[in-house]
Amino acid sequence: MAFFLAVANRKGGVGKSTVSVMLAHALSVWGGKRVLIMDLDSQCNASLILIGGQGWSEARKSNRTIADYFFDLFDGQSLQPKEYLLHGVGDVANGSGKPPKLSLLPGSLLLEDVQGELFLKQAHQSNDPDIVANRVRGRLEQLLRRFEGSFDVVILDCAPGLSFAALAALKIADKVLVPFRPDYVSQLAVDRIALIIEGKRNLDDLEEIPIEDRRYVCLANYVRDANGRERTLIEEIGLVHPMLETQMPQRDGIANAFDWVADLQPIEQKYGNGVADLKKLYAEINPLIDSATAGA
Amino acid sequence: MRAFFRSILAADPGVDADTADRLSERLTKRVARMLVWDSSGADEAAATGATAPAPAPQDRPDDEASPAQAPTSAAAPTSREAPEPFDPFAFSIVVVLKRQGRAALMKRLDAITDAAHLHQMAVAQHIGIDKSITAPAKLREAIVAGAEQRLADRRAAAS
Repeated sequence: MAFFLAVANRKGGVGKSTVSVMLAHALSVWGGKRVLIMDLDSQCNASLILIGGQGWSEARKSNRTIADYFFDLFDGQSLQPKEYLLHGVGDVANGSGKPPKLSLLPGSLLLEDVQGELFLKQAHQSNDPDIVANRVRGRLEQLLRRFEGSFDVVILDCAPGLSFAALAALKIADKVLVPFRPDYVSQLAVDRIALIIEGKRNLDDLEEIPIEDRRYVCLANYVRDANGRERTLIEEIGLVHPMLETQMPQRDGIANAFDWVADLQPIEQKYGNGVADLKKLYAEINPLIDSATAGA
Repeated sequence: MRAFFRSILAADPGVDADTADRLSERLTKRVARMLVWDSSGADEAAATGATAPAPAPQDRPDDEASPAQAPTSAAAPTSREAPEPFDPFAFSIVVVLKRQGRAALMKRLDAITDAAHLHQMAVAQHIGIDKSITAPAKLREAIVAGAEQRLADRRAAAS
């Protein structure tokens, strides 16, 4: 059964999609895992990084996006779920020079619209908005779980904000990775998403859950100054939240890795001077997945 | 001076913009210290008692360890090498308050005797204090109150 890793933060611009893609590359290339990315963000950045503009355009034209998947399968079974997936995506090669086992359910600009339509559809069956919302979310949870038998890891790249899809992803995730920028407002954003993930109302209630029992873990991203103000901010966030030891610095090699290049290249070449940082991140995340799936 | 260093570093194709910024900042600070040292003289600095060098970031103890900024006259330099500047991030004020309590934070702050350093630390760590306070004892109280306020703000935002 797949390990579901949601990458989420209500704040935008913290690197959710880039972290999702980096982990997908690392887990599929170095870990040899079958990885699926479900692009739940209507900005579609993960899709653009993995299949380029043209590939994403083709997915939209052939109605094979996450919005189509949710809409088509919400009530019925018009197509097999696997028909919506693209395989061998990305421009990174495995050790044999071939594409790794990396698949994508492409994102859609219409994802919010489709969720609204699904809500309205359900609203005909009940006047209680909470019941309707729960039904929509519950059905999306089922649809997100649909591929659990076909992959080792499913990465759920969540949109900022709280859509039905994002809430469904947070609900089913075995682990939620919360990337953040080390700044003051990000601290507050991490607090908020943590409360949602753990279903708590305030930090006092949250702190009653031991750090090691939390379903989420935070990742300091875009770190520029690991010894100054940013270090104290990361420590402050870590007062309340579990934190990965790895910190992802702001590096050219990482920033440049998200240009779509049609030719396959080794992961070391792709990430340049950021590859050591990615290895550290992989070395922390991969055992989490292995231990969870071994115990399942 | 910073712009001068940066222009030279940025002209090197092997140095990216971030590195050029960082190195020019470090060079500027280092040269400024050398200038101050030359103008005041090593003997005068030694006589006034210098601050102990701050540990390198990778060697810096965590907040469980002893204060990193304790002033000491024993550490006064005997050579012309300037002492390391005061590190306003030697420990996190908020982290010490939350983990170890008010008394522990006050103890850490007591080790910083220079009012300018206390000011510098509060400003660097975004701890709100009344800028008109000059007495070290009052400054320490203000820093603790500011850190308590910061924790309270966070709890309020998350409730």
